[in-house]
Amino acid sequence: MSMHSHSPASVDRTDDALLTVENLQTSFFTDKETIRAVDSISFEIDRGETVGIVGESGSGKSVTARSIMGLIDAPGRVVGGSVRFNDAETVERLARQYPDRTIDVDELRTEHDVADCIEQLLEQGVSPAKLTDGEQDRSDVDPVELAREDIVTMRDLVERRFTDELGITEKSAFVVRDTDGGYVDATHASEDAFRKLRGRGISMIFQDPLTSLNPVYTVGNQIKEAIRLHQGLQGTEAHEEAIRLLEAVSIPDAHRRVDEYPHEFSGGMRQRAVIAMALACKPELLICDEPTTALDVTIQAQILELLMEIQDDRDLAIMFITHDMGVIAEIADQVNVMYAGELVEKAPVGALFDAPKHPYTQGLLESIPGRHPEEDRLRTIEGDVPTPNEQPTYCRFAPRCPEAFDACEVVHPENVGVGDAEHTAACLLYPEELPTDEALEQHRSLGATDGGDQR
Amino acid sequence: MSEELLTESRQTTAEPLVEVNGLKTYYDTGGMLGSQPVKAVDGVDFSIARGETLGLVGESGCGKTTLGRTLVQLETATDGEVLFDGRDVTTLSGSELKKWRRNAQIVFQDPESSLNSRMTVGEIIREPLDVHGWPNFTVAVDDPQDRSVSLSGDGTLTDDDQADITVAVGDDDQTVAVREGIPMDESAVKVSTTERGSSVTVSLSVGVSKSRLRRARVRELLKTVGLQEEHYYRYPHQFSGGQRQRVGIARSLALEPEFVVLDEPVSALDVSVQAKVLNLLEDLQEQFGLTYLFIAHDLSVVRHICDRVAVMYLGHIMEIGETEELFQNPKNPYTYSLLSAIPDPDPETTRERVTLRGTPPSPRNPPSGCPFSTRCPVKIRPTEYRDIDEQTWEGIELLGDILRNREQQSVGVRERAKRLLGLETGFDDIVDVVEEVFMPETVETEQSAAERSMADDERLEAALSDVPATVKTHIETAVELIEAGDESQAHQLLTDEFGSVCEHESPEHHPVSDTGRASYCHRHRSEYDEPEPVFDSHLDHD
Repeated sequence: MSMHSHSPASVDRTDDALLTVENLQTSFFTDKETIRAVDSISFEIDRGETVGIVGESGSGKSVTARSIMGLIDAPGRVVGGSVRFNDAETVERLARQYPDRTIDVDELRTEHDVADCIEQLLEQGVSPAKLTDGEQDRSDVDPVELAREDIVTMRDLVERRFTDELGITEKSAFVVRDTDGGYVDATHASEDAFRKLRGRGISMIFQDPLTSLNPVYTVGNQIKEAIRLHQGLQGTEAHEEAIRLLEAVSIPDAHRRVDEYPHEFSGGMRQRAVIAMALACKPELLICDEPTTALDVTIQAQILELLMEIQDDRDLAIMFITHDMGVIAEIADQVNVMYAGELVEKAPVGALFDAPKHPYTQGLLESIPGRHPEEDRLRTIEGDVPTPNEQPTYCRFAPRCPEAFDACEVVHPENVGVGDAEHTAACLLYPEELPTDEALEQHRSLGATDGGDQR
Repeated sequence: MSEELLTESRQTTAEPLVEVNGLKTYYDTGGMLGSQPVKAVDGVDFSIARGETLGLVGESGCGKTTLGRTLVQLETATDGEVLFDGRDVTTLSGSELKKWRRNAQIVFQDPESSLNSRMTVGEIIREPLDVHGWPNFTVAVDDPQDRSVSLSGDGTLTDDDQADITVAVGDDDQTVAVREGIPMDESAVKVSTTERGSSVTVSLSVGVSKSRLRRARVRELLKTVGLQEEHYYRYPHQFSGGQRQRVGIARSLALEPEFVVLDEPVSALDVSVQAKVLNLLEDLQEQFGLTYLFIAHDLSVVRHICDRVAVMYLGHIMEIGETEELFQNPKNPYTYSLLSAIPDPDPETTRERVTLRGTPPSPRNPPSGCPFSTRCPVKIRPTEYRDIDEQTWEGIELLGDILRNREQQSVGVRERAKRLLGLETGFDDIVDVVEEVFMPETVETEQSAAERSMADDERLEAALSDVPATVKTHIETAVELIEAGDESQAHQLLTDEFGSVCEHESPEHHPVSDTGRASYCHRHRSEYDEPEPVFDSHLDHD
């Protein structure tokens, strides 16, 4: 096997995405078992784009968000992969504050030869497949050729943290500067660095606005606190800005409202206030974890409308977590479907609803009331969501899958292209155009390269 | 008049099991100052036919849960009646009420908090059986000679045709039949008779203990709701959300009720689990001939499971009728707006959406006239203002909303002192509001320094520059009143001037289709336009 025609791990890997999540893995360690709550997922979010994450409870949606925000508490830990936040202003800001923990890729390029680095890594026993991200898996790859053909660049080595292994960069480094756009590696950031990244770079709003608001301070005070911390405004200026933000999230009579306490706000208004707080930090990426689940439909419609308006105004990237397919259809551009810690299908919103490929997505859509008005009974998916506590050497959906066959028990499905380039599904039925055994072979070899030795 | 219309239209459905007339449930906090009660349910009429599922939808706080709880007598009705099989149950008390409760059960939204975590699932389902001393062994004696019958031993005599045990007295021997709901074999019942002249005494002994019967009944129920018998000894925390909801359903069915209130039974569940529970509920309804009141805020679920739907807003039923008809062609402006707010799981649909302004008013202080009048997008306007532009009208409505909110706000001591000392006059602040309301675009952008330095009356003039003169004078008067510190007077002025029948009079339930659908809106009166064309013209306008 040499080059693959489908190289899903690198499908459309554009470097200008605002957020790149690659093989992110977060586990919770208990005495009894290790729960792989997020198990090697990859996706991207562009500026001005809304990426939806859907799945049932326990599928790992919220853990994904919390991993990106660095909010995983013991016994949980991010155990692998990277979360790269690619915003020039943030990179510069953090590089200034953490000069010792900054990698300058240009410097590395002048000081080290890529081919040499590759050779050293191969000697250390790194598999070629892992090194080339699945593009080449011959054992006799030529380091010089890899470097010349730009199959492996210095940037790649830094992104995959191979430079740490070579000892030319610090393990603790998390800011990467590069001429064509650096990034902040959130999985390696320290707690105090995260505090600087959260809010200003990435903000998050949660399902229950009351837990995000302090009952003993006025709403205005809490917004002003965020303004003071992140914009450095004080006194009257901060007060004016708080009022302006409340007006921006369509709270009527903001001049009065700014001095009220959270309990004086209705549920929808509280969520608006929380959004205003998030906006006070001027974030580039807004992570919304089920922000409308606790709200009524009429209020939900208002909040969704507001989020879309804000996105247009500020070119904001939004990661939207929900279990409501209707909301996803409304707000998302790109959808990621999660099941038992894995990303089973990724597609533009239209393609996902028109032609869902993964049997789980199909089942999920089918079980929404109203999809088949002529049928008396609702369609269901048999069984329950399993707890992902073992290594994925099989398809986690297979026990419930109406289309499962023998191989599903022994081969782990990887994300492969289905239909157009941006649509992938992790199912052994695909790629459809290949005969089953070739398709299986492809999943196997992808599984071996895609961070295979961690498993 | 509307009463009659409603009753008449209701006759088309089958014999009603539950009939609600003028029901009101108020929560009175009983404060020392005699505060206003919360009018959770404020006069509703409807009926539910036997075997029917009536959906009850509405936003949170509209009173749907209170209504459901009042129907099963978990809340005390303030006024009105709930007829159950023709009998008013709001007046029941003591043992009569307890006996009736077997007939009406409720399933709660959150299975986590409605199941006692220290009891096993078996004990939880068994509890109602213990409380009501199930089975009561009601015995019906069938005597062909029609003698007077007395009973000795186990059981109580009844002439109900739903008796647990039926004994047919024959010439030489007696045949015993046990009702299907009792998990007991006929052979366990020993019967003998003694005749004395024109009377006969039946002595009956049941060879199975009640506690064994109850356990058997619980096992049967577990199977009925799709759980396993061995789940009897497990605790609620060992179950998933869907399974816990099944336990709640099993408990509600234990006493073989006719009527079950389902209070958001699937709201806490994932879609795929939700589908299974909904299927189960439908199966059970068919199997046991249950009548459901299905309370939900998820309209797609309601559309799937309900025969008829009632849409509630602020304690009133805004529209009630056949599900499919109501969903396809909503007549009431509130139903119309509510339906258009549901996100459709199909990204292709390009539906016109009506986004309602603000939130429902407090049920402690409902608006006068129509409850929906503060948010209604197609509110009837006074004739002289019918032609003013949308933005101005929107501005007037918003200003009214803000004043209304301020009126209801309790003003703190500090605030009051500030006003007395003249530190914060209403004026500077009302100009901001008028600007915000009548020129929303300019407020969004940063105000220029020049603008900020402008005197208040100049700013007011600028804000109202696009407003027609007829409207302007009233706004200015209102602003003057606020300046003088009389906000309620200003609000009154706006209501008097720009208000209409919607604010002044309560609407009536107008029949809006031949299937007996009724809608609570002034627009169905012949002198006004129907809501739908008005919506259409508004949406086109945008």
